[in-house]
Amino acid sequence: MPGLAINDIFGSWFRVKKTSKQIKKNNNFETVIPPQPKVQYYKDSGYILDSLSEITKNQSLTPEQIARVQIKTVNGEFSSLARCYEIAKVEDVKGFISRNSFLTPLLKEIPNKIYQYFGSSQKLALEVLHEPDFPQSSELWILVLTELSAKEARSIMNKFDKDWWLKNLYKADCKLNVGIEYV
Amino acid sequence: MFDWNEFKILAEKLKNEKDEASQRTATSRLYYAIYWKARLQIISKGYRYVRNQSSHKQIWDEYLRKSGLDNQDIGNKGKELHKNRIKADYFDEIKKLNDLVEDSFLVADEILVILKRV
Repeated sequence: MPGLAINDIFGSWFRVKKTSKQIKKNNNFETVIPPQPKVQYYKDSGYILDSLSEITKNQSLTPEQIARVQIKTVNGEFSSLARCYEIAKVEDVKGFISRNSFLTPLLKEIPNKIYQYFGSSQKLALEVLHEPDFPQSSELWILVLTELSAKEARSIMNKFDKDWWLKNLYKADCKLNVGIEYV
Repeated sequence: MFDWNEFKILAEKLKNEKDEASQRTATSRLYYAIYWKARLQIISKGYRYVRNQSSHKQIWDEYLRKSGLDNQDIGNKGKELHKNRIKADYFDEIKKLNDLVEDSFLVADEILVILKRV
């Protein structure tokens, strides 16, 4: 999550605790003392943090603060994905991705892979599908929206599968599929 | 014991009918013919699925998780066939039903070939 401005998250001021641990011997016990509050203050003058993990590592956050950052993250990621995919049911897709955020790198990577086989102007869609009797069976689909005949499209998709997708689908943990939709 | 391939034979007959109901039913029956073939084969090798969850997802997921590209290809194509079946049975509108049906038959035949290899 590059370029997350502190000012966007916490307001004007916040402090960063040092992560070094100190161990104090106390009779027979070794007590791990939390990092000493060597406090540094950063003003909101455009200071940028590299990642959410850096924030959470250095700063004790309330659940509300973490949730707020996560929502911002999901919204930011989703906006970038929405540029690559047509999404009819936005809330379904957004909810699925937020529950399975490990899919985000794949969702960003796959369009370029598909363009290599179907052409750079190929349209793609994201859709959540589940068996009506088993809502918990839902999976996310990347759909190649093609005007090709079934024979042509399937032949290209088979090449894509063989060359790349079958070797990478383990990253999707059975939650994401790539398929064809005839339009 | 019922021969689930009878569903494929029925699907091939229905595919030649022009009406939408036949085309949709062809897609659905075809799926079940392939699903049962894949399911019986994996169960014969010792796999057991959990009840009260989608057996379809479990069966195809199991193929995806097995080692070897052939197994993963079966799982991948099985899910495509399953998607087409869900659309045929539950979606009010399908833009190019003929292509969806034809594609389902292509995928089904490919799965049958791979199932013989694994």
